[in-house]
Amino acid sequence: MTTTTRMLVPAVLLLAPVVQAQSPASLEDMERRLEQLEMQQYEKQNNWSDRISVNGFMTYGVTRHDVHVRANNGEPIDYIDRTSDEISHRELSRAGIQFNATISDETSATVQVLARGRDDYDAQVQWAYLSHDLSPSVTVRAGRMVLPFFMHTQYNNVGYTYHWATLPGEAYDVVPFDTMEGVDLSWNLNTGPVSHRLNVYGGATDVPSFSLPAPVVYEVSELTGINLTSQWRDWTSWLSYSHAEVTLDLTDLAGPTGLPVAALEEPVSLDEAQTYISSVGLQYDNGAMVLMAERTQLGIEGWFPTKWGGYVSAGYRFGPWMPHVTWGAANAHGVSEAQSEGPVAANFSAANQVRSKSWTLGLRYELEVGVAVKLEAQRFYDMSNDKIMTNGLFTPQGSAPSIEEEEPTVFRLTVDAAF
Amino acid sequence: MLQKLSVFFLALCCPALSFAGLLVVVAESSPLAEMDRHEVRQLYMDNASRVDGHAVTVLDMPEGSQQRERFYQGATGKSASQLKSYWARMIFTGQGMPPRQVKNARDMVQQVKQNPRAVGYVQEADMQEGLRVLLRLP
Repeated sequence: MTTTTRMLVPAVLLLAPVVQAQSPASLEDMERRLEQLEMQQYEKQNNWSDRISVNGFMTYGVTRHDVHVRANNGEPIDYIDRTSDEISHRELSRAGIQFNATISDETSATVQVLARGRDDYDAQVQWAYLSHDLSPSVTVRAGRMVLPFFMHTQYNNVGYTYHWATLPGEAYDVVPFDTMEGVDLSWNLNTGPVSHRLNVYGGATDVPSFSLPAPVVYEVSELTGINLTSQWRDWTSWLSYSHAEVTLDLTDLAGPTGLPVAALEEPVSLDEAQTYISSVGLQYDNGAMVLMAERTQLGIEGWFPTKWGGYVSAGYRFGPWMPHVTWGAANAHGVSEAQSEGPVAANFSAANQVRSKSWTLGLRYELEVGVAVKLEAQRFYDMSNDKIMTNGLFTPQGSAPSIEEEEPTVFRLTVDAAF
Repeated sequence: MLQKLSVFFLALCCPALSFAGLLVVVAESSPLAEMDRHEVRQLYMDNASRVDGHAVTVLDMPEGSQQRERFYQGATGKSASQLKSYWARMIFTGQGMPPRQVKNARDMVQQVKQNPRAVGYVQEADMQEGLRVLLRLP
């Protein structure tokens, strides 16, 4: 420090109060500047948190059913291939986290990772897409997305968003569709007081299936679809239709079935079979009462049976409590048509049959905003008739005795959170 | 005596204050003149980013604040938990993100005043110069 500056510092310090006292305006000025600086700092932080957002969801659940008879191989009977008569802490438990980064005013990137107890918490990417707003009401996305086949499929892992512990199995568990790689375009528009979201998409996916003697993969290509969500006051309607070509090579089943390869080639194996998936649904929520109904359908050209599922549900909110009741049903037809494709096709068709009805009684309790506890029991009935002999969504007849007399009931208790 | 009187007055005023209306506000410099409930709902629930052709930035009170709960009850008829469930559906399907939340009522006033694009809501008691009312909610 030079001598001059050494002398200047105390001089400035001495003068400072004098300057302040003499010109109060400059003090205000300084305060204003300070406030501006604080604001800038805040905006900087804000900008950062504006650009990247992290959201998550979680479910811890326990489930079991009450059918204690054994399958033909001595193993417990399964509900949807997994739940048995012993309590499972893993089947329903899962956690997901989503990162969303804003790249510009119009463009953003989203990645959502899901780890399910039933997959030993092996994390898998459910959503990974780039999104771009072509206009304030039109958005295009490209990447991996959960298929929008049915009314609730895209948020089926976020338990907090619906009143059940799990979505109605008759509609949502008959076909294990999950994600696709592709492109979608959404258009938000209003017609008078009704607001709509029209979504079209195209892509491809593979669907593993375990309903035949060995695991097989349905290759779904040329997948295109359209869906429309319309909202008017407390009502929301849903319409969707998707089309695809399904290829299924069954010649690998020659080993497990002991059949000659020739018997498993076309038409038993499917080559670009025309496939459609459709759904129509309605929701009403006036803040206290909730009503929901949906019907879903899947049809694949060839021996595969045409399957439909549906449910009607009603609930009422009493403060944090919400008791609800749901009737669900699933059915299939086309076994006799499959006979014309030969005995192997008819057998495979029969293995893909489903028939089931159920009543679900449940109670949802809102522990706090963002956390809900749910308890429910689902009783199944009417799983066979004179044409179809099934065990509904349980281990099929053929691999197990008929369980209808056992009055099969599935119990579930979950804690769901969204944050 | 004076103390007793002021307590009496406070007791009279407080219920009135807590039930005072909420105001949807913009800065004086905003090009927006008025808004109806349907438009407010679209802004806060449907990710609308424009009103009458003008780009807007929607500001919300923090989650858990009483003011926010009253605002959504008044403007959309939805409770805090219904709102949470609604936004969870929107967020995790990539259909939209909730409006940006400010820190508190003072922050709301400051941010609306500073940004001609901003739309926010304040309690009638927090109304001050530099803000313009677009809609009064009960």
